[in-house]
Amino acid sequence: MVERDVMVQVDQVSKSFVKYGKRGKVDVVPVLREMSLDIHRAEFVSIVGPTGCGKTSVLRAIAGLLPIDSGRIVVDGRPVSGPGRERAMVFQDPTLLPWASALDNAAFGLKQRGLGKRERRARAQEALELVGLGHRSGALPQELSGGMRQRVGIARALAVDPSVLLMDEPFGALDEITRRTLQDQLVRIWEQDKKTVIFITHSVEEALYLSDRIFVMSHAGHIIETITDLMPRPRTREQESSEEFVMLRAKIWEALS
Amino acid sequence: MTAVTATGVPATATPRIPRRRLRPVTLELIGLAFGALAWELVGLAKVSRFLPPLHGVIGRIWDLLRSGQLGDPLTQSLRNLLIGYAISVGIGVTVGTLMAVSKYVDYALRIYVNGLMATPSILLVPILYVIFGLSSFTLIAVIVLYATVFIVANTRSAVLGASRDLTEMSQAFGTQPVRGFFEVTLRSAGPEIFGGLRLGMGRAVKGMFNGELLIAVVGLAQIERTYAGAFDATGILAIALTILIIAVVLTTALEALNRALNSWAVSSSRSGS
Repeated sequence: MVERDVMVQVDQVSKSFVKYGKRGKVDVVPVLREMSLDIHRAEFVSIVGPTGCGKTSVLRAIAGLLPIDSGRIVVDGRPVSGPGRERAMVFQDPTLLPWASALDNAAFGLKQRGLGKRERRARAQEALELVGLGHRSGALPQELSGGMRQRVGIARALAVDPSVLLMDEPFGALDEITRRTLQDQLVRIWEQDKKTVIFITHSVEEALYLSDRIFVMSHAGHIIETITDLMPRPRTREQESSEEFVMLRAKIWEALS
Repeated sequence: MTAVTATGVPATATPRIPRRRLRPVTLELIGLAFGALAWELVGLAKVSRFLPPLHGVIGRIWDLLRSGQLGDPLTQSLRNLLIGYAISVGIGVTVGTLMAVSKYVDYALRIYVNGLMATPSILLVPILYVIFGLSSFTLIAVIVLYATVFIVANTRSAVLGASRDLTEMSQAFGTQPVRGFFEVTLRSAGPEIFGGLRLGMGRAVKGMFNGELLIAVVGLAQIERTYAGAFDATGILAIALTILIIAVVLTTALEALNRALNSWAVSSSRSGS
């Protein structure tokens, strides 16, 4: 039975990839092993872990893009069997349609949901304003910087007003200054809307700055530690040199090693 | 005296505006002018009696047009070319797409596509003649034979290479697979598919002329055959230049269509982003 305030429940989920080698050799590579986690409504959680530990796989499974071998995933009380309206994903690469303007990219999800042109344009424009790109709505992706493209990707996800926002290392490829700006922007947006956010990152500092809870994954494909009692909000950059922050960071590094 | 800011940059400094670069079409015209000038000079120097000056060849085209000798054969050739090319595009894009989306179709047809790409199409022309007889249908079949396989190969490669990330993104936002295929996958493969269509057009022009020359001796090939029999180099080159102009006009039109439909790809490849 799913608890009332649990928004996303990952229950004993396993997933393996099959690789076909030469001479009929078959390799089964497990990426998730009986993984379980619960995420509460309006909670901002991060999943950190080393490269290849299955962080992205669990997010894609929650998004309904990756079928699982066993276990179950429940979002807002409904089992996941594919992509759904209550979820929206922000990808590591912004994956924008290169032929469409920022506005049309932000409106993509709304178009797929059958909204009329006027309404979807208005909502997409609103989402672009929210990420600070209202003035570049007519620009093509190739005319935007990396950070701006990622913000269009975030606007596209926000425009469909999902209950759960799935973010797969969205700031991983950005420079430090842009990354910090977007982190601040994300926190501001989250504080306004209080959506449930699942954020994948390999940056411990980023997870500590953004999250309510942090799940630490191991190479074995499951959660090895859950970090709770993080610093109180609102947070500031100055806190990154505080004793509490340093101790939490050390705790995560210890779990990772 | 020039004022200097705190950073040491002169306050009155104006940004250096780079000189406007020549447009591609201007460069193409310059290239054409050089080629024409070289031809004219070599022709005037009478290096060979089989290389008359350009003005004589253009004069012959003009005479052929004015006398009406070129009109009917040209119309006949162009009609076959456009019908044959349209069929090639229909078959080529459909089969290439099916090969990309179904590995079973791909396995079944790949060997034929690779074989036909390596085999000189001219070898198969007599077979088409035996099958279809002496008719314009045979000429169209030759054009289809020449062009289709290249369109198939390029379409297959374009659809296979289309961004999988974009496809996954569209799935994540609930796009139905068929709609996602047409709106995202095929659209992102568009520029490369157009590359195949351009290549196919060049092949179709070749097929048109070879078919006319080998099978029916009609259209432009009929005039060409007459001039060749009389060792009339000016006439032969007039027909060759006419065919070249047809090929350039048609591929330029395709290029313009590509720019209109896929301007995002053209501009991004030019800017290097």
